[in-house]
Amino acid sequence: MAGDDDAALVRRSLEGDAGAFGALVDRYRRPVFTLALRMLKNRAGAEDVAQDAFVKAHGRLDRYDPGRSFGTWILTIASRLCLDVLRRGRWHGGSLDDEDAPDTGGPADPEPGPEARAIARDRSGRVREAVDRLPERQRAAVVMRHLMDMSYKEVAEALDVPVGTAKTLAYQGRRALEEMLPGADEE
Amino acid sequence: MRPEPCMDWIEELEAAADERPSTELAAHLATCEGCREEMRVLRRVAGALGALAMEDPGMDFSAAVVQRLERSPSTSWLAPAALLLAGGAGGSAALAAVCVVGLWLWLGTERIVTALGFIAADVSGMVSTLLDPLPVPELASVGIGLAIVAAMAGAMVALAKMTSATRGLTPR
Repeated sequence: MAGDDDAALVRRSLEGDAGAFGALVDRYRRPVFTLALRMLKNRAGAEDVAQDAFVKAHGRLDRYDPGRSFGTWILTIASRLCLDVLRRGRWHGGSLDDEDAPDTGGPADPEPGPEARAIARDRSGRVREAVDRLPERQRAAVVMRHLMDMSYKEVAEALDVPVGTAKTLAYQGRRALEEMLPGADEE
Repeated sequence: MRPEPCMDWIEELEAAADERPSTELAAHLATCEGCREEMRVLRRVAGALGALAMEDPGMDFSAAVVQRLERSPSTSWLAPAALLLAGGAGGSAALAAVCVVGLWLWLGTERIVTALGFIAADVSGMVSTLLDPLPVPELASVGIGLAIVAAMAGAMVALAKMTSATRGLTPR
C-alpha cells in the first residue's frame, strides 16, 4: 500500500477500503500538522484542525480531482480550516516554546553531536518564533509557499485571494522574516 | 526605502535562489536593483526556513482520524442498515395510514363498526379454537378476541384522527 500512488488510494477509499484512506493519512499527517501548527501556533489546536482536515477530505473524496496532487488538496483544506479558526479566534495560543515542541532533530544530519544539535535546535527555534510573529496571512503564504512547496496559484486558492496578492503576501512575509532574522544564513 | 522587486519575476527569482539564474533572468538582474535585492532576501530566508523541520503529530494521530471516521454517521457500517430499516418502517406506516383513512372515507363509520363486529366474532372464534386445548373458559376467549379488535379499532381511529388533523380531512 505504501507504494500506491495517491489517486489509487483515493479510488480504493471511495470503494470502501478504510486501510487505503489510513495510508493517505499516514502519508500526509506531517505536512498537514506542520502547516496547522505554524498557522495556529498551538499544538492541541493544530492536531484538532489537522484531524478535521482529513475527516473533511474523506467526506469530499468523490469531489477530488485525480489530476491534482492529493497533498496540495489536503493542505488547501487544512489551511482554510486554520484561517477559519483564526477568524473565529478559537486558538489564540502564543508562540510555542522549544520545550513544548518535540525535538524534530533540526536540519538533516545523520549523527549530529550534542553541540550541533543544540545549535540546530536554537536556530530552528528562532526561525519558528520569527515565522510565528508574522501576520496571519503573510505567515500562511510563507508556510504554504516555502515549507509546503505549493504554487502561488494553489496558495491563492487556499487563501481565497488573487495570485498577485498571494505573491505580495509571501514577499512581505519574507522581508519581515529577513528583518527578524539578521544573519540567519550565516550560521 | 528598499527597492521593490518585479512581481512578474518572483517565481523565476525563487527558482534561481537554489540554482544558477537563466540567461534571461541574469540579464534582468543586471538592470533591476529590486530583483537583485529580492534574490538576496530569498537566499537568506530560504536558508533560514530550511532549518524548520516537519513536525510529527505522533503515531496515534492516524488512529484518531480513523476513529473519528468510524464514529461519523456517513461512514458507519450501521448507517445503511439503519437507513433501510427506518425507511422500511416509515414506508409501511405511511401505507397503513393511507389504507386506514381510505377505507374509513370509502365505507363510512357505520359500515366500519359493522365490519369490526364481524371481525370481532371471527377473531373470538379463532382465539377460542387456539385456546381450546388449554383450560381457558369460553368467556375469556371472547374477551381476548374483543380486546384484540378493540385495540385494532383504537389504532385505526387514532391514525384517522392524526391524518385528518394534518390534512384537514374528517371521516364521514
